[in-house]
Amino acid sequence: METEKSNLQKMLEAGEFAITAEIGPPMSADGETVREKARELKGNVDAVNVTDNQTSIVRMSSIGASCLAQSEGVECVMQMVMRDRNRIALQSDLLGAWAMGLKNLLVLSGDHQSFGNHPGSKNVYDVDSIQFLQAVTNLQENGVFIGGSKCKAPPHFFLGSTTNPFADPEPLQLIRLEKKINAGAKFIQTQCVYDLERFERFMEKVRERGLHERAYIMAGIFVNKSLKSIQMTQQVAGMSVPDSYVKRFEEAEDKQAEGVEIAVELVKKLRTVKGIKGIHIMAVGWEEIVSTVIRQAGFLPRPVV
Amino acid sequence: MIVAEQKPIDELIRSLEGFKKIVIASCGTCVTVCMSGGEKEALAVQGLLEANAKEKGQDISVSVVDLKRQCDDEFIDDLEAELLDGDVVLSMACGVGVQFLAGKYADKVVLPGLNTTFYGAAKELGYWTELCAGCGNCLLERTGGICPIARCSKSIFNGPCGGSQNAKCEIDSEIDCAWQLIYDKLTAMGRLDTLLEIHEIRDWSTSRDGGPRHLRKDDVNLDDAGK
Amino acid sequence: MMNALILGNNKINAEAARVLAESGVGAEVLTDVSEILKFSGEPGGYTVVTQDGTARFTSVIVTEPPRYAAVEADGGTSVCLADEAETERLFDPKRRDKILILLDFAEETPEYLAAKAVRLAARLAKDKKDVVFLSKTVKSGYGDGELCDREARNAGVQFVKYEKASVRYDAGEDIFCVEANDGVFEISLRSPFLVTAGFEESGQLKRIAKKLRVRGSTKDGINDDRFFLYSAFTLRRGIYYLNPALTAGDEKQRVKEALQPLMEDMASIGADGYVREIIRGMEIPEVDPNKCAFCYSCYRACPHGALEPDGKASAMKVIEPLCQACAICEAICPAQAISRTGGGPAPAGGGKCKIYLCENGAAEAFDEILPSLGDRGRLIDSVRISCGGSVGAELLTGDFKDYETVIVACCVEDACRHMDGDKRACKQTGRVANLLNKAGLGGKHAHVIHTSLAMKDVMKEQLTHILEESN
Repeated sequence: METEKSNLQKMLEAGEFAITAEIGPPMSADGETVREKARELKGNVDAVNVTDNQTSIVRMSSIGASCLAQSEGVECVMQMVMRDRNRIALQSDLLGAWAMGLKNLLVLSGDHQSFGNHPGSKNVYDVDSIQFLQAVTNLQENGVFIGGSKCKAPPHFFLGSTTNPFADPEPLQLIRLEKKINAGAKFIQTQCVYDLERFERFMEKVRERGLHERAYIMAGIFVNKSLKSIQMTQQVAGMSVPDSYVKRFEEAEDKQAEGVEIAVELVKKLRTVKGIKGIHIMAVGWEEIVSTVIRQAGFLPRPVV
Repeated sequence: MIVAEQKPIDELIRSLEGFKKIVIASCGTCVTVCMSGGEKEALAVQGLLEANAKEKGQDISVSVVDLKRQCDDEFIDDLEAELLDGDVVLSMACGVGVQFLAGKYADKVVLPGLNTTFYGAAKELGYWTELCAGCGNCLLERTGGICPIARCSKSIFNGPCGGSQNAKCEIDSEIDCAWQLIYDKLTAMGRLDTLLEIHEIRDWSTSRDGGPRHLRKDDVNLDDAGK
Repeated sequence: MMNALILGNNKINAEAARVLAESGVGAEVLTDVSEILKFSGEPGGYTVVTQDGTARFTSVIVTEPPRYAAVEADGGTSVCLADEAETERLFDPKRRDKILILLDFAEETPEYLAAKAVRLAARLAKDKKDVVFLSKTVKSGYGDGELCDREARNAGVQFVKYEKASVRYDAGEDIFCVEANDGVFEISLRSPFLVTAGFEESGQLKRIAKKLRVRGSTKDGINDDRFFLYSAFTLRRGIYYLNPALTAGDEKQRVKEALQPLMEDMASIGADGYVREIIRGMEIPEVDPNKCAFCYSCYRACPHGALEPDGKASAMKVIEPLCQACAICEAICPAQAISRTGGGPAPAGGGKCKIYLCENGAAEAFDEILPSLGDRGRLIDSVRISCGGSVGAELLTGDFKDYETVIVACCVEDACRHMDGDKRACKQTGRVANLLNKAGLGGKHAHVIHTSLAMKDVMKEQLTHILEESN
């Protein structure tokens, strides 16, 4: 069955520098907030990630929120973490999501439940992210479920995953990135970049392995709103935030404007890194600012492919 | 060995409310070694229970019976009289021992004195860590002898996740990142190539997910009913 | 005749053997501990088995130096602090370069080494050298408790306290570039002379310690200067550590000085055997092989290496000549398999408060102040113990049936003759104190007092306060 490719896939395949943003669904059943955020981002980005119970906090499901956002005319990247569902539920959700018209899928491990508001919950992790990427690829290309039975009408998601250039041990993170691409990931979004030097060193190693030619790598950036925000970002395990950024926030009079300025700078610099095919902007809780950042960075209007 | 931790003393006092003649059964195997349920610990609990009772003006008697093991009949039979000479048994054995006693004496109230936690070993005197998940299908050959199921917080098979920092797990800095350990070990063994292979999806039916397990040695156990 | 085994890979071995010979002590040298197949015995009679045969020694003198790591530089390293011979080149009158002394770089420099660094800085400055002393902390008293850094400052040494520092060696110019940040300013220094005190545990030293059953303390492992590097003695009588790098002067003089206290102690052991210091009235513990769980807890905890497995019995047994009856093993044993004849809890004397007094000072201090406690003193039942670490949780909890307050009086940190007995007393008593609260016995109290004969007045105050509180 031939289906039209997703907008994100078409953009990247056409060689355009893609822009994606992110929506964090609400901690309630109120779909209107999702629609509002989608309307904010419409036309400014090529696709929008919809997170899946991020940091183990119960939120509206990624499938549900993605469908709402798409009904506003914004293409979504549905996210699936491995923490909460076993292989039966995951595959079932794949079928449902595709049937509802969702076309992009990001697979990731997910934060451990101890970080969220349900720390006593059972840890599923039936399959890990790389195993699932492989399973989805197998389903999409060969029409076979994990258990071996056939699927008459498989989905055809544009498949992606994540990588963290700043986590330890670095050699193993590169091996893992390669494995994800071997398992079928077609696009990769990185953890937010602040430390450009370290990122460039990482990308060099990525290019050495030829990974940038086998998958579309998009650099992630975060837009900080306040001094507290950047300080907290610095504390997160797996993030590398040079002190100079914190200092800029400390000295800035208009913190929000500084946050935007830093984000725009980073976008412009990351544009020039060889192997980077797009930017993924995370401004969770501050989705309104994404269009400002994109405009100031000179990426509007978005090309149509 | 099995590692267990003594339940908080206030919880024990609450669960023993109303019992007048308490028999504490300590166990001389694993829980002695991890210093949670051996005779020494049982004596300490006895002391606290008696002091607490005295404080409340209650009249109770607490005795300690030390069983070398609580998971084999013969060890228990030897001291049965003392063990049953009370209205409740507080078993300081692991969950196995508590259940064994409860199963052996149908009408006896057997309460657990410990929270059984993991299979592990001592890293140094007084410090034990979890090592084995009892998955029923050992994969240690592929990970340099370090178990990702038991020792990675997310039981990832193709690790690490993005939260590994300075060789520690992001959820608790006391936990070593298992994948850092695996990486170091395989590097030292010159077997880093194995890490590029995708470790396939696991069949969890051999672990507890597949139901409670059993082992029957066909040449030793004469019960044909099992077949 | 007394004889000693000199063990370790150190160039001073020959000189040490010579000094011993001059004093009538025979000496043999062994540079590699892996040649020892079996090591056993007691002070005055250690048996060493190697491929060449078996030999007996009165004592063992370990000379293996701990490894002092230097800042890395291709083709040449910085000048290492501990090796006096190398630091002599700093005094070269022809060189006028600044001398940089960088401490706490990889990790915090141990105090004795920092003290040495300050003394070196002072000497250099007095010799008209330009010295910059960088460290992460400004210690105002070093080692002897003297303000020896004042001497260095007066001589012209520039002290810099830094937060972050980095070092780079420029091979082309043969110069070290040190960038340091003290939180406000950035300092850039360049010099061919960089003195560092990076300090690494030597694998060989650890192997020696393991073979000789010399225990490191819980603080720093084998580096704990109290047990292996600072003092000339380990807790195993007759096993000594010789480190002449820590003293001043020329090599011969340093070796002779360092060997002095060792030889005196050897003589006290004597040729006939070993007189052990056992506190009067304290019994040697015994292991009941039927109860022993063979868990090795006592083996690991014993500060004197006085327990070993008895293969036949599948249990531990006490090595009598080494045991100092501290009874820490008795407190640790989770199977209650260790006990002493004549030991066991003292009967309740009717007092409100019970105090355990360690024999290394607490007991004496208590005896002296007891009369001055008056009526309050009569409320106290006292028990003498060998070490604060010998009072286990079950003993203490049993006490609370009869007493309102239980006190464990033990040594001040560093004074305990049984390594970490004071620390164990704190932890064991602390655990009981927590349990008391949770068991609804909040009116009962468990305390630890660290004391000594010299601190008897403080002890009196503390006891008075505790007794008042429980009234």
